[in-house]
Amino acid sequence: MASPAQVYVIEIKATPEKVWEAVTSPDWTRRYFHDTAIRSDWRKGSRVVYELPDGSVATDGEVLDVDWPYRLVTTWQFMYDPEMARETPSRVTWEIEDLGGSCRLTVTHDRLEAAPKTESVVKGGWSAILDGLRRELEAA
Amino acid sequence: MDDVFRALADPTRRRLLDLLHGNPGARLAELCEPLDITRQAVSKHLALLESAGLVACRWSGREKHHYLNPVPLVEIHERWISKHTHANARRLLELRRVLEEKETWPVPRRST
Repeated sequence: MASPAQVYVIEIKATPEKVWEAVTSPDWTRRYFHDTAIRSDWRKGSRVVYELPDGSVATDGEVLDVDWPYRLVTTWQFMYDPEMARETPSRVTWEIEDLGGSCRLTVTHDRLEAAPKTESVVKGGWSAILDGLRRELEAA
Repeated sequence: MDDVFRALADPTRRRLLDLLHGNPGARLAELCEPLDITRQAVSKHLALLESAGLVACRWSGREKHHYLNPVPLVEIHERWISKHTHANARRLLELRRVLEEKETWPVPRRST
């Protein structure tokens, strides 16, 4: 039985700290994540949202685990679409591995069993987001 | 990028990517089943796909799960295909799909 998890891996010429900053700061996410600003105080149990330019919440979640600058786990629920807002929150894990001079960033999106629309929406989305993140970081 | 093209040049490896696309998280045994080659050969192909970054692996306990990592393919796409050409190419692909899928046309049936 296959679990509908999705795994994305990208190598980025940057330090883990820099990649972490790009993942967790609004000034960076606006540049590669559909113009959204990420907001959280990054404490376990805190809320994490991606905010659209008009201030509305695009995705909502909870910080499940933080290990700066290597691992970040949050729940994930799209709020901009009523159908997806009713689905069970899924889970996104960011893992940053230091390769010396570059990093391997792995994004795992799982717990999608009860979130079929979210699953199909993110399927085409993560690759382009991560490619954008890499290009922004490497151009900086 | 050379690695990616080399990995894609082999039909068995493309078949493995198809299998992973349809069955994310598949284990080696599941991938061997539909292929008519030895387990060792499949394992070797997977290792090559993994080193090219096209396959990502996750362990859960003692089980190794394989996932298609689409990121290198998107990198290739982004490198040569602008937003504008992407839209045009999509339209042409859609046109072909419609023309080839004849049943999508509302052909009136002759009553007998």
